[in-house]
Amino acid sequence: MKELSIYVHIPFCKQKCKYCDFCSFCASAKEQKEYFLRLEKEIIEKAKKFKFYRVKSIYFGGGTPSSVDEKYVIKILKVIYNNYNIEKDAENTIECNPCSVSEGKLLSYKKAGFNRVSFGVQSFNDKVLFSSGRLHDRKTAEDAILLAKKVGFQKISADLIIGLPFQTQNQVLRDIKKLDRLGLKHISLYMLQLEKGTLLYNEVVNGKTKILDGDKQVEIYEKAVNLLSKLGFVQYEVSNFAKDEQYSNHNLAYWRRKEYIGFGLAAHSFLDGKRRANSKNINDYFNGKGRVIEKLSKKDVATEIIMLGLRYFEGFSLAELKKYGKDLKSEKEFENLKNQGVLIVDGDNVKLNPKFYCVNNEVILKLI
Amino acid sequence: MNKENIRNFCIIAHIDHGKSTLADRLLEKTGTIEKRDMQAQLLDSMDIEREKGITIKLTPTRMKYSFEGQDYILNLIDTPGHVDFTYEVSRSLLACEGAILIVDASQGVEAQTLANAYLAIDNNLEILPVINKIDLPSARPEEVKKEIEDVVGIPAMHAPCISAKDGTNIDDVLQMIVKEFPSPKGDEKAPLKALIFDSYYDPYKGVVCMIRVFDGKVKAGDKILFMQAQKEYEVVEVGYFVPKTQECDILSSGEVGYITASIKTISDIRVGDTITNSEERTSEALPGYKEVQSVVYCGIFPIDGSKYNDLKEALLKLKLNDASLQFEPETSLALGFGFRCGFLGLLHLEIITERLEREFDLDIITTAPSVSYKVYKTNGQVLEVSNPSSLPPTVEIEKICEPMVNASIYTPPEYVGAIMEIAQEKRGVYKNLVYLDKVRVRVDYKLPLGEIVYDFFDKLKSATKGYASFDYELGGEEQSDLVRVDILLNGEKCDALSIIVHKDKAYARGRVITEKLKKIIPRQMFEVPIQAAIGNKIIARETLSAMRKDVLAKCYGGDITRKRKLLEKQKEGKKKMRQIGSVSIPAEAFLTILKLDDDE
Repeated sequence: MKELSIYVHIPFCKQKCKYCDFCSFCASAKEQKEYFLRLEKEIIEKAKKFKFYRVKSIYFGGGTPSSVDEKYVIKILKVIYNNYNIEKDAENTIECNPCSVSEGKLLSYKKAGFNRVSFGVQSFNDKVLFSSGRLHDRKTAEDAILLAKKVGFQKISADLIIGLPFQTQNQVLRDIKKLDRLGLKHISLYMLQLEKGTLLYNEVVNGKTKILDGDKQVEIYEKAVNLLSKLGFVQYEVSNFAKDEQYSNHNLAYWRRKEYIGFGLAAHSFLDGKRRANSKNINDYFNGKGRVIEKLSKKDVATEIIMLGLRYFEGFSLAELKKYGKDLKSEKEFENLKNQGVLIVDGDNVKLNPKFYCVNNEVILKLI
Repeated sequence: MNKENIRNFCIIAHIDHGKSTLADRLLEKTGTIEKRDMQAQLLDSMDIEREKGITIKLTPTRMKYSFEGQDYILNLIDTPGHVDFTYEVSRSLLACEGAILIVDASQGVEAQTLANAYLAIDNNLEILPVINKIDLPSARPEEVKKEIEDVVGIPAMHAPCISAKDGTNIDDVLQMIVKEFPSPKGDEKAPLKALIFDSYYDPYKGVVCMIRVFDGKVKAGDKILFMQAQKEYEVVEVGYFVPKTQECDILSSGEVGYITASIKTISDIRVGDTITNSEERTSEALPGYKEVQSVVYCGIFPIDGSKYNDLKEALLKLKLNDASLQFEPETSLALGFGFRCGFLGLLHLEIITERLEREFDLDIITTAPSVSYKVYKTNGQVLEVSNPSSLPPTVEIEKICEPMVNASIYTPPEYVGAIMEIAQEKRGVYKNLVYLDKVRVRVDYKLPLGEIVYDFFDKLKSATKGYASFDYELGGEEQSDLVRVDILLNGEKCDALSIIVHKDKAYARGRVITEKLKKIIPRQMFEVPIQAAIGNKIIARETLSAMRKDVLAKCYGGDITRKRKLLEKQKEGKKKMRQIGSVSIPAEAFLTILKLDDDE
């Protein structure tokens, strides 16, 4: 049986964060209800194609899955369990906002089959949180993590962002220490990406808000990576750190180019060498319109292998890449990067030297 | 038509004295072009010409004119007005018997007025002065007439006073053309002898040669011989311009027009060449053909290396109607395959590069302009070096001579101080200062040509608020203390950035270039030292710090495609960069060092 991962997109939020350019918005109770009905239908309709797949991970992302009534989320998970072959030890993650969880809610998630919670903490500083448009404060975030532990979640992850308005290096380092003290074994650490069209972008362009520039972000990031390593975290990807091998199996599946199916608005799938995406438009999604299918050419695959391989600790295989017509060994640029210590080449395996994670884009561009 | 009733003439003038406007009026008055079809300055058919207000391309036009019961054919051969294009002017002068010399009624005689008038006199043309722009409040026609007589030395008291702009007294000009200019001479029964004074490429007809027939006649079906090129062709079509092409049966002695002969090999056609009938040949070719001498050189490379052949084609086509453009293949370590091109001057260089970009849609890199140096080696060898990277090592050089020019700068007296300062700075040697009248002074300097191609024009213009004009002729060679400054990126020499410069200025230039490059080159994965060096000695250094952040945001929810497409787009952008060792530099880097300001 083939392996599969499932992604479910819950596009709803109580309030959009200033830096967010993901597919998310506020919606009424009625709209939410309709959405979940449609989602259920989609999951059931597609199930027959996946009779011979075993599901290794399920991931509820958004948006904010915890912002909606838990009955919807639980129902969807149940529908998935009823229609797909879910492995016994599958990793089932739900993304949560610290301000929209309660002990009861977390407990229901646990009972329904979720075994991993990912909190969007971003920072433990109230001023930073407020000016980024986050709805929670330091205390709420801490409490949420403690509650998750209390109800028995073994796998808890938290996201932090470097580069938010008013943020300092010491804050970031303190935040990491705090997460470690709270017993978390997984931390995602992102550098702020200012995206056009976001509120924050406009504020920065109009001079209303200042954010840290790229150089400063990297300076903090490098210190943070050092600290994490001292605390026993392994950097298994540009932005992801884990203790005791508590890697996110779902994300690893993306980077390993494993097959996955996405349900919901704007959800992406990768099956039979084709990348598909549901429409970003809610009406089109309801009518089953606006789906995009892309058959990958050999060159596309080669680009993907390099692009994904150079962002995490497993790297990629030269032989595998050669199957898609890309013989890096014969390329001068590859030799150069190897000699400069940018690429770590071990027989057939190629990895990016973690020192160069922050400029991985540049390295990829030299190779594709 | 009887030869007696043909007049071949051109219009010569200083830039902006109204040459093209007068040409337009003549076309309109003779009914060659209906007024409603007029587009301002019709003869300047290229965009760049119209924008720069100068003519570089010759467009001969046949006009009909009746005077005292007789019909005449007037052939107007337009000429370029800039010092860079002296050779083009001389070619079209050869096709004429008369020249109208336009002088601006308020500006008076200017540098080019003189230079062009002397060229016409040298070619034995009848010169008819015309005072233009008399509609301007500042017009002083009588004074200007006197100026023409005093400075140029030709009678001007009866010169028509006109306004080409509003059409005043244009008939006077037409009558003078008929009355004053001689009709063409030549023997219709002699073997064909015709001059190519211009040509262009037509995708359907092949090369179209603009010709002036001196002896004999030519018609479709004739076998002709290009005497310089030693190539034979059969004429397909003959005709003339009105100003669009108009086919006719025959072109005879005295007439101006065009021929086509399905000529696809552009290099067969050389402007200045003589055409004769290959079965009945003329005994000798017309004088006037010469290989033009380039004074300014630069490398031109396609940004996209695969466009080398397109660039070659484009240069060949440009050369067709711009005989003065010279080029040969060049290979640069930094820029790949391209061409070393020779130009008549800086304006010429600028026009050619603009035409390559606009008319041929090519993205090109040009290297810093250079002149041709004579290098005497210790082993007795003498080299002509126009490409800094081919300068031999210092130990092998006995001496280097650089080309000099005798420059005359015409200016209102108040700017003399500023001009002298610039000329000193450019290593000029003061020669003379002449008060032409109360408002104009001519300052003569001997200057190295290499300094002029650098930024002399720009400096002169800004120091004199644009009032000064400038003329130069080549004035031999002088030994000079010159060195090559190389630019090293991450320790690797970038040949395309090398310059030859006077020793005293090497440090300053090196410093400015490295500073400038630091600003232009994007940060790389590693720290990049940018150095300027003379031989092995580093004379300036800047450091480009390493790039810190260039990381893809997380692939959220498995959206791999978006990231891949973003990368592919960035990769496309990178193709416009040049790779010097491990350093990528944008094309602009090569352009901006063309115009460096020492004061910066």
